[in-house]
Amino acid sequence: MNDTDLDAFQIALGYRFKDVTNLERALVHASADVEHNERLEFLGDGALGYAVSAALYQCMPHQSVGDLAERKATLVSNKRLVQLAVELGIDRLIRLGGSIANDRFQPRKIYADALEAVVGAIALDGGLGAVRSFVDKHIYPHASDAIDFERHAKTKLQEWADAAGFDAPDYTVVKQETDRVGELWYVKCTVTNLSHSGEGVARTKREAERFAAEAILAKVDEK
Amino acid sequence: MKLRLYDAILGIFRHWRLQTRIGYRFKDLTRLDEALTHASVDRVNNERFEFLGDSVLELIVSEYLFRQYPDIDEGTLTQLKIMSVNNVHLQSVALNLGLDEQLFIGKGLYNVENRGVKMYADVVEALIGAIYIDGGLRPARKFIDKYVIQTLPTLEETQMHPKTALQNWVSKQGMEYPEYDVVQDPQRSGGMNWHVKCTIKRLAITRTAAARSRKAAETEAARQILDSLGIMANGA
Repeated sequence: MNDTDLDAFQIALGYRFKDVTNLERALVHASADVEHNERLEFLGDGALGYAVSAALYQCMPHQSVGDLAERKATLVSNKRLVQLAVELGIDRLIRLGGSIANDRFQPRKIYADALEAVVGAIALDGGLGAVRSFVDKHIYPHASDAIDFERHAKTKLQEWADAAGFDAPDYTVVKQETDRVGELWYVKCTVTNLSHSGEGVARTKREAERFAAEAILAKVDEK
Repeated sequence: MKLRLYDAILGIFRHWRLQTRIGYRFKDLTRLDEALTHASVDRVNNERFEFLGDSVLELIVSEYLFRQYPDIDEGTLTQLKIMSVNNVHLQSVALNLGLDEQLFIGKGLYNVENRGVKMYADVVEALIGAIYIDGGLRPARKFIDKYVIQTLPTLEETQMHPKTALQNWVSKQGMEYPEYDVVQDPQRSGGMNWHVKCTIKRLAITRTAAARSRKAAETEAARQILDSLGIMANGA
């Protein structure tokens, strides 16, 4: 890796290291060298979890804990971290050892792990404030879409029922069939003591539940 | 009116005593109360603090282990971290601080058996979250270091004999030593094995193990308790 690459990477990160030793080390996979990034990854994992939780806690004062936990799980999921690592160019900068380097199907989790190691390096170089800034710049902006839309309607209905003093909504599969395209799920959503009910039909159960929740929410909003 | 005054004085005393024990003075005491309020009581409860405290705890423990053990690999660091944030360990921290007497819980949970390990572990995390929000990372780190980290076995201690490791652990929590009772003695009742029960009263944990010798049965029972505490011992 040359200095130009490292410069460009730091620009992408939005953080300039006082000492790049740890940054370089963060980009070394265990297969490449005895001086590898695993300990930094351990540190980075803790720092990242903290910074994401703190951001969610402070910026979403009205969301339920379940909602915060779900957003956090999505934001620090392997899938998201791999995506961000590739955006930042970690897949091109990382040093891999023999067999893995030539493996066309090298596990992409390596990139996520290296990203965590980079976060660990930031923590050591600039402290937790720098990690918070990194999270604010690259990770927190996705918080609003970190809950699937389908879950969102269900969460909204749950919160509404809770606030209005109703029991938790109940989802029942009314019918399930298979047509030429695939499965079809019919889900009915009811709330005890509420006269409205909602129905949803979709190719997956989750989506059918979401439609059912939306149907009730629409009726409730009309009132 | 008199009663209210009495309640108020009692409340002030309660806060004072608890903060002295925790070693932190809250700027806003409603945060302390919120941290001690279980979800069974109120919509304003300790769940959000717990969410935050859980992450703060993991961070501080990770930082500590990273610095304390510069030469051990990530796998061992992770094992040590799991041990630190283990629910039974956190429960013992709660009991050590007397949080069991300070917790606001819903009526359905007054029955002691319903209060699980997790409830106590959660209140420790919530308290950490509350301290963090009230005073930032520095007092949170101080609290975690004193009550969660220093009460754990060191890496060296985890290499000790299970009975020694268990004894060290309970004494760090300020608890009585484990009791070993012979449940079955082969010299009297026949059979091949000694059955020994190991008990830690404060945590209401018992484990019974069988082996050819009494000593080996004691060791195995101690090892099983350490296992349930999430503590590594003697290569276990």
